[in-house]
Amino acid sequence: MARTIVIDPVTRIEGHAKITLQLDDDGHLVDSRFHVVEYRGFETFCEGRPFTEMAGITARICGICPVSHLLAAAKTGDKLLAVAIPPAAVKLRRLLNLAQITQSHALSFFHLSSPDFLLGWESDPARRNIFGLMAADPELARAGIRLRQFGQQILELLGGRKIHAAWAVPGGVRSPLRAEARDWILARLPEAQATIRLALELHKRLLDGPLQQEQRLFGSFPSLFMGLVTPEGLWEHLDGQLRFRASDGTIVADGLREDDYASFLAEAVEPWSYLKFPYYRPLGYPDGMYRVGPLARLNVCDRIGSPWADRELTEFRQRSGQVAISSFAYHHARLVEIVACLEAIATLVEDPELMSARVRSHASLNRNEAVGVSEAPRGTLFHHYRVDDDGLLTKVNLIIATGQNNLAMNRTVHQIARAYIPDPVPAGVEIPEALLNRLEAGIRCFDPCLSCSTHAAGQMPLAISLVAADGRVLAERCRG
Amino acid sequence: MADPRTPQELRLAPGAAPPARSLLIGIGNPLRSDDGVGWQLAEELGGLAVHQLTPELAAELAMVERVLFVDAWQVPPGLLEPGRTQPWLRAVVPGAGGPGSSHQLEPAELLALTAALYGAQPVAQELLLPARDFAHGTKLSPGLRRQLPRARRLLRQWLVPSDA
Repeated sequence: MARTIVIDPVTRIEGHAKITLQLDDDGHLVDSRFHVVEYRGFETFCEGRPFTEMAGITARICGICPVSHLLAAAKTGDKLLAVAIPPAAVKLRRLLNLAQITQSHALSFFHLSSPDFLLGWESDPARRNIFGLMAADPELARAGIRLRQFGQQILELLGGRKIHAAWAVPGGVRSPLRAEARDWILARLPEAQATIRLALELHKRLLDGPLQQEQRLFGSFPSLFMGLVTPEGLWEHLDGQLRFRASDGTIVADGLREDDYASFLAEAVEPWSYLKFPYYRPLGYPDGMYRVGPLARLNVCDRIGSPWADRELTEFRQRSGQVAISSFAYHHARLVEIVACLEAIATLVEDPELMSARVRSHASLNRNEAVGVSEAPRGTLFHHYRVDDDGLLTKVNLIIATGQNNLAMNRTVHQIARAYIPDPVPAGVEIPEALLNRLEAGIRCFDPCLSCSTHAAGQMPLAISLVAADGRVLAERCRG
Repeated sequence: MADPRTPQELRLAPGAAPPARSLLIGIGNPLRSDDGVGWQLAEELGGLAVHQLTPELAAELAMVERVLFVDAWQVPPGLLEPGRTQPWLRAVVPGAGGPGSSHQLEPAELLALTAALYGAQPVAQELLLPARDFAHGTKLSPGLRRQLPRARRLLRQWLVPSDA
């Protein structure tokens, strides 16, 4: 009898999801699925509203990456106004995004993933969390929190509130940076740099030692990678143009404009998940699987363009390949990106133009359709709006990073399951903690964010079920 | 050179104005109907509105004597529990929990983190409002709106004793 192993929901990612491992009649693993079981559908919710409200609304969609939506919405609004925003506003938005990437990557690395690395996959699940990390390495835990706080504080210094500051608006930003805020950033930068140096040293030691197997087994497969690069091919996070690179290093497409995304991206739908499956249109579905986010950004760029980050990129490529194909390398990529962000922040805050009071261009509606793009911590984010002549939205399409990694996350889950469960799976098998941990950890490589779902208290237990093809639960395991 | 401490840390420095003794944190998604009630009440009363509890909030908790978390409580389907049709307060004690979610700490976990990181233990309570409608939207359901007067009364009672 065909059986299904279900893990529902997955913890330590945002929102609700579950993993199903499908066995055939002989007990062989034939398919693995990462389901997103809650409908998002914010596009419909936004239609009919003024486009000028989109920055504020979409920043409220998500508690983890509000800045990404804020910036994509503001950039789309710039295009609807058909304005060039003031140079200081460009730089202030870049500063905001760099701080956002720093704080988000810090949360992912120090608090979600480090417990696995440092405490071990087989360790007591009750301890394999931030508290266990604090017991094992309190300095690292504190430093991680301080690094996250550094990024969050910059968001507050710019936007006035830590979360959901609708500060970036069509035409620029609402307010300039104050001198004391710039000075605070400068004063705290050395500590942030010291923290990331510590984390890099630690992570490289682990990669060279106990984590070698994970590098091989956690989502290591060829795919395309997509991300923004500058016109010169350097690492980019907010402006620039899109590039696709294949695992063999070939640049498949370059100089792509976000306005034309429908010509190179398409979205498939599967009945078992609310999350769409974007793919690279010329290769079709599912062959057009591509990955976005920190790993993809490091893979698509020629170099980063700042000295320390470029040294780290070189070392990253020596360890993981000129094009890193293991999803486990997302963790290392996040650290390299934090270095890049800190260097870019240091350069920006020394730029006198950043302090200019001219930060917003004013115009009325001049176009009826626009696409904006930003690099969220988790990958490329597209906002596509159509508006009527009164500026009311008639169509909204949001292509989020987690969706674009959907195919790769499913592939990663399948690869891990094949490696860690017996083949064939014997009847009555217990689902080992080690398998569960690794499946979750495989998903966590992508740091997916589904927090556009609800929060309400008490919704996040973890249940694992072994379910027969006819729906009977053969075995079940819960925690949380 | 500017002082590298965060504004929160500066508020704790010698000679600084006395910090607020109480902190109200509303949790939820304001675009998911009833889920946004904690957010809404926190904004009304000058509290902190967040989607979820995250580790750096430990620094905020370390500076107060009392904290109140306000959140929607999803009524389990089919549950008919007469005592759970109105907002209610309950104490929260520090607890490390299981493998948990660092993106989304529970109040007990955040308290434990506060104690571990900063040696601080604010007295904590949670105000939970039974809720059923989590569809997209910015409006609270009629059932939840009927609970608001009692919720506000409880919040005012909680706020007044320490800050009067």
